[in-house]
Amino acid sequence: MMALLQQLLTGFGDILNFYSLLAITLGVVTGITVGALPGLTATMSIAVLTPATFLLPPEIGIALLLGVFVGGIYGGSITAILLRTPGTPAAIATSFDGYPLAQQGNAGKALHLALYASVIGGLISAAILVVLAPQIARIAVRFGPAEFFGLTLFGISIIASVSGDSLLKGLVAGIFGILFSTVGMDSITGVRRFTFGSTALLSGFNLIPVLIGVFAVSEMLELVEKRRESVVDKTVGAIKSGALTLREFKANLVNIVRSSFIGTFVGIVPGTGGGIAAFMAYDIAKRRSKKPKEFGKGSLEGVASAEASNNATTGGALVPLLTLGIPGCPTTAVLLSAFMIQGLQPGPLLLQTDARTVFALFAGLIIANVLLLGFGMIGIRAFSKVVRIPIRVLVPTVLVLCFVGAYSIANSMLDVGVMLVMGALGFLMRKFGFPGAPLVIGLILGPINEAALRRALSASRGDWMVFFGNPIFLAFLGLTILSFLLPLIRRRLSAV
Amino acid sequence: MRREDRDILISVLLCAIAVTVFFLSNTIRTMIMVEQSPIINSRFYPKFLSVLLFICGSLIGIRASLTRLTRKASLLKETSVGQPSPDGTPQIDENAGQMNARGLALTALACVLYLILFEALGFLFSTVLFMASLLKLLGSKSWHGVVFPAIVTPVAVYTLFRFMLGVPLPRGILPF
Repeated sequence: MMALLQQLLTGFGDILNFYSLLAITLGVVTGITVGALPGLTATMSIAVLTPATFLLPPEIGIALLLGVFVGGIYGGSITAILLRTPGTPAAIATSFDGYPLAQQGNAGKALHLALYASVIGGLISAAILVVLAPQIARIAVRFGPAEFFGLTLFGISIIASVSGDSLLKGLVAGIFGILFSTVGMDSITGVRRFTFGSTALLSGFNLIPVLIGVFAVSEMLELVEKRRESVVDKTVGAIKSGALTLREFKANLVNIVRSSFIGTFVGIVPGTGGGIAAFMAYDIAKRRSKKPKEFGKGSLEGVASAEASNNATTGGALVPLLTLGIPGCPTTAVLLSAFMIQGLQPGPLLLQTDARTVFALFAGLIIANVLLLGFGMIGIRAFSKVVRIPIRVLVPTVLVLCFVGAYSIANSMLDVGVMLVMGALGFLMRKFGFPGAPLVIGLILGPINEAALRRALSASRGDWMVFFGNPIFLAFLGLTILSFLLPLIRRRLSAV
Repeated sequence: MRREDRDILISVLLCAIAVTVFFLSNTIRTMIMVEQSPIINSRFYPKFLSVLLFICGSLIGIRASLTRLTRKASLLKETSVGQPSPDGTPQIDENAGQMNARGLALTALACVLYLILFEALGFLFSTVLFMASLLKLLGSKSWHGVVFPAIVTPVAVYTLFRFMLGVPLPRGILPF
């Protein structure tokens, strides 16, 4: 434990400098702004900002993106409370009580409690991440190709939970992602696959242009198609501030801490995310409350539980990402690519090879939450106004950033072309009900999964018992099957 | 076009892609001696995925066909008892598609032109043109509503990337 604290203090020492703090501040402010805009996601902004970070040192560049992640989840609560239009799916539960509170003239109370709950949730989850990540990595570092094959198979299976309404369409998107990952030189034997004689395709598709295309360009095209003046066609009323009393805060403290733990542990499970965590914590808070009838009509407890838990998923989601290399949601999938372009490979070895950087990032996550408190308190009014940004300004600006981002990875127009094609593909996928996240998850995990399978079989001279005689592989296989079946069972149950 | 008809078309397209990928996979070289397995080699993943794609594509088509049949049967039943046929089945978002099809097409065209001119004219010049055309296209009416963001955004992005982050952007016809 002392060694852990020492490493964390070194992390703080590495990150407490002007440039890192500036980067995290920029990240948090961008995150809150984008999070407050319904329809725009933190995933999109991280995808667009990733290329801008690759020339920065990892602890600055990735800390900026972590700031966006933290700010983005909180930002969703502002419009959820003021307009009943959650900026992110994670803030849906916040709107249940936040909006009634705003209608009763208690918007300031709700916004401040949401902010405090978010910050506490974020800090508790960051603390759990610091303690838990090294322990999990210590176990996972013993994994060989067979275990890795099982692990990545389980990672791919989260496609089932991010597929939305249609598992089949999610699977198709995931298959396309893995197929795209096979383009280029085969990592085991070096033979060419689907390059059609092009040398440009030898190294396969660059991940960042694909991410920018699927998550950002497609979102912009959708905004153009919807032809609206601004993201939200409602006006924000007056915010009465400073109304939350210390007594009210104290009354919610136990609820906030409990919800933070729920959020963290839900966040650790791949394929869950802030939305599920918020609903779960909201439900438990309601059942434990002395005034359950107030829930849905303007209960401060409802706002606190939803906000503490959804922000707590940030630290939770980083646990499988950093220790196993498994992105549990679209946002962490994009974060994983940000690590990769910095030359860091998230997974069991990361905490051995780059422990100093990782602990600097842990410190960065904690600082991001503290900065969130500061900027949240100063700028609630300003952030609530961003919903009025006209689409006609937002779309061209984001598209320009997309072009610059895709170009700057390798100064190649081919990457920009790939981004545009993927943007068009992503837009068509959205229109026809195919989710974009499985495509990206397939693209990221597909090659690792394939290499692990072939390496394991090559080492065992083609003997399949390398898998079926391996209890860890079998456990992951069981989890994979469960992961595919759960959404189906859930759908059946909700249909009954 | 109804949702089911659209899904049937998608299903046919997916199956065609799957078959193409399967046959293309056969052209990939293999190194069985290196890989120790005649099945799991450089061809395996593309082939396996093409089979999976074919299955998923077919299932999407079968599900859509079944939904269409059920709908037709219920429609027939309703009309046979002399009732009006309230066709409440989900339609493809025709209205959504027509919401701003022109704007969407022109935005896509602007993106393609921007792609072509990005290096030839340079970042600053091409971006001013791209921003101005999109701002106008998406409804900016006043001249200052077009000119101001069309100049400020490229200059700000160029300054950030070129001078602060050290990322080179195409200069094109401009000397800086």
